[in-house]
Amino acid sequence: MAELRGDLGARAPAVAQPAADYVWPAVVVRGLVKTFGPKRAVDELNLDVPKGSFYGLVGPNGAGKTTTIRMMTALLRPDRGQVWIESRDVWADPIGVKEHIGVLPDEFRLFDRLTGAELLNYCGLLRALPADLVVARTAELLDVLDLSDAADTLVVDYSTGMRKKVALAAALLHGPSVLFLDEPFEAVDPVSTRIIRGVLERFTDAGGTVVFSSHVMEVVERLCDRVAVVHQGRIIAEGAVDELRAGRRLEDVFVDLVGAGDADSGALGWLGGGAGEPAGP
Amino acid sequence: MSRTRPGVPRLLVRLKVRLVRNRARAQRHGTLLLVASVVAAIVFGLNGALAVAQLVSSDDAFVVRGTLVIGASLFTLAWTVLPLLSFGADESLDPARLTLLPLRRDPLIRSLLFASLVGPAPAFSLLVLLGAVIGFAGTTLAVVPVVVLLVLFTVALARTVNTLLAATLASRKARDAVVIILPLLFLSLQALRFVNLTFLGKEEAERISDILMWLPPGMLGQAVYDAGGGDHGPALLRLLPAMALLPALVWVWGRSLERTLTTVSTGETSSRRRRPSGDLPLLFPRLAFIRPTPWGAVAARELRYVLREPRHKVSLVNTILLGAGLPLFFAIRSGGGLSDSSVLLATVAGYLAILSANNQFGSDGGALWLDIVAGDTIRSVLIGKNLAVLVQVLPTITVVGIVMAGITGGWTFLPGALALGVAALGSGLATANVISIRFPLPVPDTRNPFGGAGGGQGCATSLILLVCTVAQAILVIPVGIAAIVGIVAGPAWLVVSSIFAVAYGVGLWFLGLRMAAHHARTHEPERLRAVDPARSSRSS
Repeated sequence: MAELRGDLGARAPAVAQPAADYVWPAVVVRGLVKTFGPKRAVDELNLDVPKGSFYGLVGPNGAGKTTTIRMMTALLRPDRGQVWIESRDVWADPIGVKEHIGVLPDEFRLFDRLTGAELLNYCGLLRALPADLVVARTAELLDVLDLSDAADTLVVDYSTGMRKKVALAAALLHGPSVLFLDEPFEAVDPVSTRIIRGVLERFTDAGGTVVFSSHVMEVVERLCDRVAVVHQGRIIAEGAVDELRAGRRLEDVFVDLVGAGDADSGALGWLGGGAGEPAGP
Repeated sequence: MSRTRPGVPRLLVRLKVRLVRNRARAQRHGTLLLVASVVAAIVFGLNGALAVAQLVSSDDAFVVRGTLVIGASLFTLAWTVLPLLSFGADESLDPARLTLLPLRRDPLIRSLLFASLVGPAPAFSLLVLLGAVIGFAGTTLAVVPVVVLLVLFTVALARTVNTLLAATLASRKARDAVVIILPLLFLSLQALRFVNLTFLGKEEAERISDILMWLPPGMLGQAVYDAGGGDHGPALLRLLPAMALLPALVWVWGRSLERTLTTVSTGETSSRRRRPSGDLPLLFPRLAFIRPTPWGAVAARELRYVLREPRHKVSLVNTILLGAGLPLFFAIRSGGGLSDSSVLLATVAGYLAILSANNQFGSDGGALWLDIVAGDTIRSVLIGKNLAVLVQVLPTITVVGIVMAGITGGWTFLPGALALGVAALGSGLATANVISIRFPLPVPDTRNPFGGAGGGQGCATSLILLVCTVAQAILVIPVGIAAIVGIVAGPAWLVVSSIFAVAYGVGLWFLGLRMAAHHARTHEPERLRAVDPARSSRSS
C-alpha cells in the first residue's frame, strides 16, 4: 500500500496510476480536502479500508467524519482529492460506484409519508431491481430488523431507532459490497443497537465492508477490526484496534490523541446558582 | 454592569437580517437573488409610491377616496393573505423557532412586529404607503398617524392570523380542513381580481368603497379622506375601531404565541396502520399503468404524498379549483352566451398544473439523498414526477372539457381540448423540469402547510418563479396558436392543429427532459445542497 500512498499523494492525485498488480482495498482515499468558508473541515485526508473489514472512523464532534463520509459517497463534492471504492473513482464515475455502496447518512431525512414497506419498495424499484426480488427482500429485511409489525405504519411515526433500522434496510436492499454508516448507533436504544449490530456482523461475515463513524467507543471497540482517529480534518492515528489501544481502553487512547483538556476548576463558578455577577440589567 | 444589552426587538430584527443574508449565502446564486429582489422591491415600490401619490393628489374626489379606501383595504388583505398562499411561511418569523429562548410575551410581540417589517416585500409595501403620505401631505398631515396606525394594525392582524393558523393546524384534521378552505378563498380572490380588471367602473368602485369603509382598514382610508376635506370629527371617530382592535389583536396574538411556544408537538400525524395492498404496497393496484419500474416507483411515491402530505394536497386542490373554476366562471358570467369553442378553456388546468411543478425537488428536501445514492435515476425521477402531475391534471381537463361541452354544445372541440391540454402540459413540464434542476429552491421544513419556497426570501423565490412563468408563457404560444386556428377555422382544422401542438408539446418535453437530466447528472451534490442547505453546508 505504501507505493500507492506515495504515487497518489495529495499533490498530484489525478495523474498517478497504481501498479498493474496492485490489489485494491475496498476504499482508498487520497488527499481529500473540503473547506466551508474559513474552516477547513477535511484537510488532506488519506485512508485505506481493507476489503471485508469493519472500519471505524472515530473523532470528536466537528472532526470531519460526516464531511468525509459524504464525500466518499458522492453526496458532497470535495475541493480536492480522490476516492476509489472497489477500484472505481467515485468522482469520475459516481453512478458506477453507487451500484456497489449502501449509505446511511447522519441526521438523514426520509420520504416519511411512506410506510416502512412502501419506502423499501421505493428504494428497490428505484434501483431497477426486479419486482419479485424487491418484494422478497423487503419482507426479509423488515423481519430481520424487527420492523414487520411496523411495516404498514408511516415512517413519520417511527421512533429514532426504527428510522435508523428502516434506513439501514434501504441501504442494504440492493446488496451493496461496501456500506457507509454515519453514526448508526446515535440515539438508538440498546435493543435496536443489538439488532443493527447483528445485521452488520452478518454483512461483514459474508464478505462485505463496513465503514462507520461513531464516538461511542464501546461499540467501536467491540465491532471494529480497524480504526482511524480523525481530528481537525486529518487522520492522526490509524491501525488495528488491538494495536492502537495497546492494552488500554480505546476511550483513553482517543482522549489522549485528541488532547481533551480538563475543565478549569476556577471557571463556571456561577453554575448551579452559585454567587456570581448577574448576567444583565 | 455598565454595559446595557440591546433590546429584544433590535436583536430579533438583526437575527432576521442575518438569517436572510446567511440563507442567501448558502444558496447557489442566493446573494444575487437577494440583491435582485431588494432592487426589484425598491424599483417597484418607488413606482407604486409615485402612482399612489399621483392618485391621492388627483382633483377627482372619487379617485382619491377610492385609492384611499380600497388601497388601505388591499394593503391589509395582501399583507395578511399573500404570505399564506404564495410566498410561504417566513421561517425567520416562525415562533416555533424561538421556543427555546427565554423571551417574555410582550418583548417578543414587539420584536416580531418590528422583524416582520424587515425584508424586500415589506419594503415594497411600505414604499407604496409612503406614496400616499407624500401625495396627501400637502392636504393634511393627519395622513401620517393614520398610516402608522394602518401599518401596526395590518402587521398585528397578519401575525395573529399566521400564529393562530400555525397553532390550530397542529392536528392533521384541522390542517386538512383549512387545506380545502384557503384555496377556496384564494380562488375567490382570483375571481375578484378578474372582476376588477374587466368590470370595475366608477359605480362599482364607489359601491366597493362604500362597503370597505365599514371595515377598519377602509375606515382608516376614509378617515384620511375626511380629514383632507376638513371633517376632523368623523375622521377621528373612524380611527377608533382600528385603535380598539389593535390591543385586542395583540392580546389574541400573544395568547396564541404563548400556546405555540409552550405546547409540545408530538409529531405530524397520529400513528396509524394501513392495510397492505398486494405484494408491492407502494404501487396502486387500480392504476395498473404505474409499473414496478424506477419511474413507476417515483410516480407512486408522488401520488402517495398527494394523498398524505398537506402541502401536496394544497397544490392539487389549487390546481383543480383554479383549473375548473376559471372556465366555469367564464361560462357562468356569459350567461350561456359562450361560443362552442370555449371548450378549449379546459386546457387552463394543464397550464396551471405546471406552475406548481417549477420547484419539484424543493419538497423532497433532505430526503433527496435517497434518490441520489440510488445511482443514475434522474431521468426516471423526472418522468415519474411528470407522470404524477399528468395523473392529477388529466381528469380535471377531461371533466372541465365535458362540462364546458355540455354547457356550450361544443362536443366537437372536446378531443381538441384534451389534445391541447396534453400539449400545454408537455411544453410547460419541459420548462418546469429544466427550472427544477437548474434553480432548485429549499422549502422550509415547517409544520405550516402553507410554507412554500420562501423562508425569508419570498421576493427572490417570486423572481425566479416569475422568470419561469414568462418562459413557460412564451413556450406555450404555439399551443395557443393551435387553439386559435381551431377557433377561427373550425373543429376540422383543430384536429390538424392539435396534432401539431401535441407533437410540439411532446417534442419539447423530451428536449426539456434531456437538458434537465444532462445537467443533473453532473450536479447531484449541488442540487442536494440547494434543497437541503442546513445539512449540506456545514462541517461535521
